Amino acid sequence: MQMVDHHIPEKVVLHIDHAASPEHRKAFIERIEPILPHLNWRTHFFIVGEDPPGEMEFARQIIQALARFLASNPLVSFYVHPVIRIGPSDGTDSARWEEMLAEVRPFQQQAYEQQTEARLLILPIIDPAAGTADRYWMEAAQFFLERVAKPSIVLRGSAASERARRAAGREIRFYIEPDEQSGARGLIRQLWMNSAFEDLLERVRAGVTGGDLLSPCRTHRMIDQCSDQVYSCFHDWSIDRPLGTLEEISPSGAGIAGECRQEACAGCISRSLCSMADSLIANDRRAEGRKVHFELALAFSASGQHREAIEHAARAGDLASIDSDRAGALIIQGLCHLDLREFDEAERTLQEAAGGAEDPGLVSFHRGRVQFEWRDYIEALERFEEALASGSEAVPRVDLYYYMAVSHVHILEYREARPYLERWSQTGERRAPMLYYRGLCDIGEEQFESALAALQASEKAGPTRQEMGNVLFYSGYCLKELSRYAEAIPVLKRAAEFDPGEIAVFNLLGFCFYKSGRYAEAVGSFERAIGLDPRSAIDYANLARNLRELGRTDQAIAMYRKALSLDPNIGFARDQLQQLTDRSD
Amino acid sequence: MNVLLIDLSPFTEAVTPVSLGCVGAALAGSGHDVKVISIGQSSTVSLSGLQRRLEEFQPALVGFGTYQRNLPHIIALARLIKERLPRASIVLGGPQASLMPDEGLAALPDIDFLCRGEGEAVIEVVAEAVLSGDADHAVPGTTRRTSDGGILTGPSIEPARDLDRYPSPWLSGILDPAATSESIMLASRGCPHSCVFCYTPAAFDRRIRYSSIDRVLEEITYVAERGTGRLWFADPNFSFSEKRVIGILEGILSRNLEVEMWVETRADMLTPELIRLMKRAGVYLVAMGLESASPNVYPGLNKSLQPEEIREAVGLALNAGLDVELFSQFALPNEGLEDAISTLKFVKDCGVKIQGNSNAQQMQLYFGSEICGDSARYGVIPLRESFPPYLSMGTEFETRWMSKREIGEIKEAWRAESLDGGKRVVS
Repeated sequence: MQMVDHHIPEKVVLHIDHAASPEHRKAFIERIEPILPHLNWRTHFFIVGEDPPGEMEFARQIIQALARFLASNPLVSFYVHPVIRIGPSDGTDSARWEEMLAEVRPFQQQAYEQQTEARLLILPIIDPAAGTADRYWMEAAQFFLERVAKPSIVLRGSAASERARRAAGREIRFYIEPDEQSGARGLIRQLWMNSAFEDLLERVRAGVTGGDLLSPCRTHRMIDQCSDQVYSCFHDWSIDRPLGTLEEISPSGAGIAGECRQEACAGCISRSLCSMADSLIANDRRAEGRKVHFELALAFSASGQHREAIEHAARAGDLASIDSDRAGALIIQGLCHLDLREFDEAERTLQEAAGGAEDPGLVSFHRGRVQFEWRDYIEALERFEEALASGSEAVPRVDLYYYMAVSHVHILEYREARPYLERWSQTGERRAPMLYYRGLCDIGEEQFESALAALQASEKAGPTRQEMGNVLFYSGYCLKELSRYAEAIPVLKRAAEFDPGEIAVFNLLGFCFYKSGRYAEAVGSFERAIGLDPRSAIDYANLARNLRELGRTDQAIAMYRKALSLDPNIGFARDQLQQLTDRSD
Repeated sequence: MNVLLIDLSPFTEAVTPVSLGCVGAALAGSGHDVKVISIGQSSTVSLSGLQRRLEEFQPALVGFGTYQRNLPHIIALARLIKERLPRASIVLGGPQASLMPDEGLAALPDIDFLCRGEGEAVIEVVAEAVLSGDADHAVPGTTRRTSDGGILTGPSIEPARDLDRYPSPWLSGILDPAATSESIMLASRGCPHSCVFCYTPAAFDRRIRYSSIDRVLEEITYVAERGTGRLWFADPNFSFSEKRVIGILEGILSRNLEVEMWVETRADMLTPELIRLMKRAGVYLVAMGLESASPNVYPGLNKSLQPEEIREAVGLALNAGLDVELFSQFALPNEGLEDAISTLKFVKDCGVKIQGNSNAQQMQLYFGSEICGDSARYGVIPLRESFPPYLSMGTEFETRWMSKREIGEIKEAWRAESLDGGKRVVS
């Protein structure tokens, strides 16, 4: 229903050549005019050049052309942002500014008559030259404010933020450009960052989350008069990858619209935003900046780009004004470090978050996860118990019971693990792993019949493919402990299909073959085990024992020797080697 | 016949064009090929793109939902349509068109019809007139331009008493719930009250007509299953009948529909029981009309509701965990600056967040409202001598009690308290 054509440019940056001759200026404008019907019905134009202070004739000519177009196309509105450079000694250049603003008057009159908004707005970007006293640009800003032409100010150099702070409260946007000498390119970079930020903010306000936040910006184009090239976005301009020349695109004009190249968008958005901390602070947009960085951190984290997520979370924390927001940012950082297995950093940031977090129980839970991954199960249990005691509703219950049960299992506290398995069971969720760990507790307590029943129930409950290998292995293990070798073999064979790289499966399978008198198959299993770990002394010894049973004495002797060379403490290998060598003597 | 219906919101985001959807459903039911499009401030559309679409679809009839605020843009788009498709007819419907004086149409050379009655009832007659090619006879339910440039108003058309007789914009498939983040529902029309600032009483003759509860539930089910489940009831007076509201809410519960609903209600209807039912059924926000909290002002508005009743209802709703919005206005008759400030203070004291619809606005005078019809009697002083005949006074006035400067002051006071601060228009 809604008309949305993402290919239509909504912003156009005109990088004009201040040295262009009158003929070249005229030609440039004539090439711009055919593209106007192909732009959005509400388009922003930024006119950026290196004009000397006080010079704005070329910008005015462009505005006149835009006004001519608007006069014959009353559905369209243009918002024009010309850069107005002012010098250290100019003072207010009000006559020239009035001249430029005169282009807007007919549209203001029309808006007044129709009780609507003017379709041509001039929103100047005032760019004071180095050494210009603040009072000059403040006077200029005031001049435009009084004429409903809301200005922005470019402040450059290391003191820019401080100068902006002194002028705060005037409803003026500041572009804080750290490089004093960056000229038009620096300003375009600022426009780029601000444009990316505004797009992100709009998405965040609309409730967009996750990967959709990182989709391409609203469509914009850069038209560079100096090179006569048209670029599909700021990023492509920065790497000089043009869409085509203005001369090529101009005749039909339609070529100005088109697909964006999306592959670099996420990185471009991320870098842009990270570069505008000073501008956010100078424009009193800390809260908005924090929100955008925070949502970006979540988006990058969800897409597995943890380094980017950490960067944005850190910036969200820097911009936060209350402890709970700061803690929220730290939690994201901590979880990203956890995913990156940087446990020291994860613990440090989460510990820092604990002080200001709205939900300390949730932080304890995540700190427990860090300790769990670190395999410090006792410390992990302390954190999980804090999380449980907090009653936090944000802590995922099943996960908490899982971690608590499994931590106890890891430190062989089977009896302590059981109450958490029971609570887990009562949730009815993720039954397969719950039954698996119940089986492990039974195994730990040498209750192999009940362990087998639990593991078989786990298999029926539908474990994941990853879990299935373990379920089958321990089922096989129970059968072996119950001396039901023939039953164990098919179970372990299935386990091997799920975990073909797991040496313990082949070791156990080989043992069951051996106990069933199937020595040739046992040899195959132990050879697979050795293939997985050529330094597994016990598997050489087991292999030797089965070779001996098959009457392949020489091979058996060689394997016993190999086993003992790797581990001289395998008693049965030493004894049987002795017997074989005695016999052959 | 191909019919294009356009909802144009130049200063707000595009919304579900539910009214045009109703009109479109009626036309589709008569065998016409209908397209409904919605253009909002963030919609991206170029002139060349619009022209291409027009040439591809070749509509013989183009309809617009018309409000004072979008009329200049409709005029512009109508010009573009007539340039490309000179034989296409253009009809304006909606509140601005229903009650616009005939001289308004005379001043709109690209517009062929003003729909004076209910959209569904009138549009089919208009379609027949367009198909017949007859441009010189009055068309019932409309004011039209004749081939010689004259203006003819036809007899009125009685709207259906039972809204179930009209096809549903949702159930007919004209509107797609999956294409919008929030589905706008229209379960009833009209309002029995006589608020002096409102055009609804005149437009609907102070009668309420409505769809059956079953039809409303059928629509909600359809929309909830296909869209986001977020619903916004645009009825001028959704809660005119407590029994009906309870029936709808209980129906939602019994059907296990997962919905989130924005509803407007009258404060004197809210009881703890109803609030609990609303919350269970998925209402997340109730909006109520306050207009003014000043005893100098509200008695003259014919609203028949005391601010203290509203305060109590707001408290009940907030305590139950519902969000609340209060509609209020300034520059009302008898309202001085102090009165206006007392309304702002009242809203804050009630604990209502000043954002979204709780940002007050200046009273807007549209065709059909009692004040617009007799502005001098209500102390309204226009800020200019004349207006184009298709536009009403809107906000271009001050009052005997509040100057333009003071209106600006109270506007700024509300903005300063607003949590969403209004739109930024800076570089």
